[in-house]
Amino acid sequence: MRLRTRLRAHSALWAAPLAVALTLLVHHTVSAEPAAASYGYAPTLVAGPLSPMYAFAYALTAALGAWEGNRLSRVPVWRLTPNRSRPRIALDGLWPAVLLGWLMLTLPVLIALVQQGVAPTAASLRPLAVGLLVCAAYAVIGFAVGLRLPDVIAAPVLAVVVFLLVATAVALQVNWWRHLVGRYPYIPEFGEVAGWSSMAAHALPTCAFALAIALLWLPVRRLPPRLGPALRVGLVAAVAAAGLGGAYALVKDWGADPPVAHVDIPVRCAGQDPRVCMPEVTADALPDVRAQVVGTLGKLDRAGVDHGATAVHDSLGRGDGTKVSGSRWELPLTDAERRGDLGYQVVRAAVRFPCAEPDPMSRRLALGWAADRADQSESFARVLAEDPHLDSARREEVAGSLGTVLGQSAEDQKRWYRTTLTQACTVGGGDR
Amino acid sequence: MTLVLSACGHAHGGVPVLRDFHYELPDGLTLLLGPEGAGKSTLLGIAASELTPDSGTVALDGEPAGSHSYRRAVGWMPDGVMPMTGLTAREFVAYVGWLKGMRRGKAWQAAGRALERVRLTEYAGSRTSRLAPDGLALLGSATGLVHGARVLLLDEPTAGLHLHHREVFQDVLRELVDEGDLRVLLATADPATLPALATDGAADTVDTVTVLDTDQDESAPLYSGTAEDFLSRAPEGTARGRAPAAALAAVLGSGRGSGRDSERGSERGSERGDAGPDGVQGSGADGAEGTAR
Repeated sequence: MRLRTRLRAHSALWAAPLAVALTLLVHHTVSAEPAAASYGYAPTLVAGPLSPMYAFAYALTAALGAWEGNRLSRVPVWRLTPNRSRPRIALDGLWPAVLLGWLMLTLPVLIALVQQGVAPTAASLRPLAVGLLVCAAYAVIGFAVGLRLPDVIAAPVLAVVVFLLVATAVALQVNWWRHLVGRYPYIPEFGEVAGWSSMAAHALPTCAFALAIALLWLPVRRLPPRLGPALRVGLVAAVAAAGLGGAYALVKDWGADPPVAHVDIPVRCAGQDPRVCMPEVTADALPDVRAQVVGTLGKLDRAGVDHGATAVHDSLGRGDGTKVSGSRWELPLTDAERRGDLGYQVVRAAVRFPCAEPDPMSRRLALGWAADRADQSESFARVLAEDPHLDSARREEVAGSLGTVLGQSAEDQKRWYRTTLTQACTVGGGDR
Repeated sequence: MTLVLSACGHAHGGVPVLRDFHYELPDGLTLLLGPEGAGKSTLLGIAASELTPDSGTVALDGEPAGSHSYRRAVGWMPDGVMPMTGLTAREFVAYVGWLKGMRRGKAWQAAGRALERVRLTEYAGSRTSRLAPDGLALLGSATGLVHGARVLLLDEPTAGLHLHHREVFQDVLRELVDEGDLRVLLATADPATLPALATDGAADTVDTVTVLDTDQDESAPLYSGTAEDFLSRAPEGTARGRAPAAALAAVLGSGRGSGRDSERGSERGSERGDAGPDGVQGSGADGAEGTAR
C-alpha cells in the first residue's frame, strides 16, 4: 500500500489529534516539575516526562493494533493467498500505530530536552528505548487480539485494560509487579542512570507475550497436523512463561525503586585552598559559589573556627548531603546556592565536634555562634524556627544563651567555642 | 499446460470432500456448477493454494502450488471476501497487488489498468464501501488481474446480483478471456449466474461447463463439456430460459444413476489423453461434446 494511502486510511490518522493533544496536556500538567528540578541532567529530563505517558501510549497502540488486525481479518487478507509473509503484512498494517505510540513517548521528552537546552546521552535514553520496544509489543498483542475479536469490542477493552495494567502498577503494594509492566517507575537523580537489569525486566514480559501471541497466528506449515495445535500451544506457553519468569527472577528482591547505575559527572574546578569544584552543568555559578565559600571561611578563620578545608566539592549526584573528610568537603553547593543558604552550609561543615553524636543543645549553640560570626544568622534563625525538637521556650533559651556569648570579648568567645565543642561530647546525648 | 490437480485428496473435519481427484482447467471461461457441499469451494481453494491438499499435487504450467510464481499467476476471489474499509477501489486493488508481491509503485499502476479492464475506471477513486454489489464483483476480478494472473478463480462472484449486473459481469469476463492468455474458473451453485447460458449465445460466452456432485468418492468431475452439450442435457421441450437449471438437474440425476461407476474408467482414460481434438473430455451419449460418468 502506498505511503499516502496507508496514512490516509489508517486508524492512527484520526487518533493522532487526540494522541498529540493528550500528550501535550499531560506533559504540561504533570511533567513540568521534574524538568525544572533536573539541573539539565538528561536522564532526569528523559525519565520525568516519560513517566505519565507510558500507560497512554501503550493503551492507544494496543487499541489501534486491534483495530487494524480486525480490519485485515474482515477482508480476510489471509484468504487472498498473499505472497507477502504474515509478519510483513502485519508490519504494513501496524507501523502507523506504532509510530503514533512512539510519538506520544518521544514528544514530551523532546519538549523537555529542548526547553532545557540539553542533548540526550545514550544512557539517558534507556527508559525511552524500552518504552518504544514495549509500545511495539503492545501493537502486536493488539493486532493478534483484533484478528479474533471485533474491533468495536477489542479496541476499547484493550485500551482500558492496558491503561489500568500499566498506570496502576506503581500504586500497588506489590513491588515486583511495578518493575515488569513497561513503565520505568523511577526518575533518576543527578548522577544516576537507569540500570540495564531494570530495562530488561520491563521489556521481557510484554515482548515475550507479544512473541507468544504472534506465534498463535503465524503459519507453521511443517508441524504434524495432530500434534500441531498442542506443540503450538506448548511453545506459546513456554515463550510467555520464560519472559515473565525471567523478568520476575530479576526483580523479586527489589524494593519500590529499581537499582540504578551511576555515571561519572564532568566537573569544573576553580582556585586553590580551597579548590571548589562543581558539576559542569551547574558550573556557571562556580565563581560566585567560590567567592561565597572563600568569604565565609575567611570570616570563620577570623572568628577562630578551625575548619582546615582545602577542597570543597559539590555533592550533587553524590548523595546531595554534607560529608566532611579531613580537608576535603562535599557540600550541596548547587542546591545551597539556589536556596541562598550556601554560607550557612559552609558553617555547618566547619563546626566539627570531636565525637559523632554531640549534645544537641550544645551543637545548636556552637552553630548559632559560628553562623553569627560568618554573617549567616538569618539562615540559622530559619533552621532554628523549623527545628521540630524545639518549642518556643527552648528557642528563646538558645537565643538568650547566644546573646550572652556574643556579648563577650572576642577572645572569650573563641574560648567559649572551643570549650563548647569539647563539652558537647561529655555532657551526654539526648535533646535537652 | 494449464492448472492441473493430480490425485488430490482433501477432507474437512475428517469427512472427505475430494478423493484422488484429477482435474485440468480448460482454456477460456469455465463454469463450475454443483450443489452446496459438492466441493466447488474446496476445489477452488486448493487450486488457489489457499488450501493444501492432504494428498496429491497441484501445479500451473509446472509451478507447484504455493510457490511465489504460482500465487502470482493465480488470481483468487474467495466467497465472502470484502474490500478493506477506508480504501478506494484503486487502492484496494493495488493493495492486493502488493500482497501478491508487487512493488507498491507497480501495483498502483497495474491497479489502474486492471480497473480499466473491468470497466471500473470511473470508480477508481471511490471508496469500496460505496460500490454497488456488481461493482464489488468486478472489483474482485480486478484484484485477480492486477498481478498479471493467467488463471482467475472466482467463487460465487455474482451472488445476490440483479440480472443486468450479472450480464455486465459475464461480458467483462468474456472480454478478459478474449483479450488473451487468461483462463477463468467460476464456481457457483446457481446455473443462472451467467445469463448468457440461458440464451442462444451460450457457447460464445461459456467455453466449458463442469459439474461436481456431492459424492466424494468420485475422482473426476461428474460432467465436463461445452455449453451447448451441457444445455442439450435438458429434457426436450424445456424453455430456453430454464434450460441451464434443467440441464444441471439432468446431469446430476444421470450421475446418480446406476451406470455411473462403470463409466468412471473411461473418464479417467479421457484425462490421460483421450480428450477430443478441442480438449473437451470424451463425448456425450448423444454425440455432443461432453462427458458424464
